[in-house]
Amino acid sequence: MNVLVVDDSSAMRKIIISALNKTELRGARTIEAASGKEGWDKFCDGNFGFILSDWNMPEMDGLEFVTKVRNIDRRVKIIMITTEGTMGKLENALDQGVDEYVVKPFTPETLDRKIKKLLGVKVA
Amino acid sequence: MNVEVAPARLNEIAEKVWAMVLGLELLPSKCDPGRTDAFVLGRVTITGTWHGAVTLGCSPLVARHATAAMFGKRPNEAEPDEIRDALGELTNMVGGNFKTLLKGDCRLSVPKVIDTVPYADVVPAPVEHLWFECQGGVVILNVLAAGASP
Repeated sequence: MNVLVVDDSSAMRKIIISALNKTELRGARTIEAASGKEGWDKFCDGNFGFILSDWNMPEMDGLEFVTKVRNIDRRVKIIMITTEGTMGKLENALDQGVDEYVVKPFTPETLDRKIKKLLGVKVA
Repeated sequence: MNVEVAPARLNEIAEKVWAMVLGLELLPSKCDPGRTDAFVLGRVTITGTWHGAVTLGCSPLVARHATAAMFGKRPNEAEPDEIRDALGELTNMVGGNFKTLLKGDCRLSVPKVIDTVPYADVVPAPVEHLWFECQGGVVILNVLAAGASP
């Protein structure tokens, strides 16, 4: 499976990919994008099963990126990784097509729980 | 602080971010302006029902340790653009978590990071601020209501 990791911080992309390697998606091929715009370009050129995207980014923010993705693909699983912990805004993100969200800072275990939920993997 | 959020909550946020992201301990400390004369300064602005900014100043040594922890390398291997990136993301996390404590609808900017900021510009009197120690260096967290500088 291909996983698209979209975050304007290279440090954060590194942390997300490191965390991914401790989840159900370990071993997946990860592709990085440094903005929503780059994420959109890479999404259009690839075949992705999962997207992990930051929200607060320059040029095209995560919500705009997700909205564009959802206009053409209802299947890909999308997790928003964000500092945005306000319920109203998170509900808005879910309405726009985000499947799950993880609030930063997060642990690999939290990310794994969300991934397993989206994959339909039973948690012991 | 120029906002109705208890300093203890800000301590919690900063310590949680440091522990979970960096695996480093952030220890609350007393103000000691003589400790260092230059900082790497991250800043996010918040607009909406509350207007202001959150700044995170780190002495160069702490900035290197934080960057090293995020990039998985040694402190002396941290490159300037990696330090800016790491400080920006830490500021984003602290500022974003602070924003969730505010009432009403607010929006967080993308972070900006400035190298080599003098102490006087990190802590504009008379704004209150939180001091921490980490890895032999200093971290200063400020919450600035609109109109304050920098």
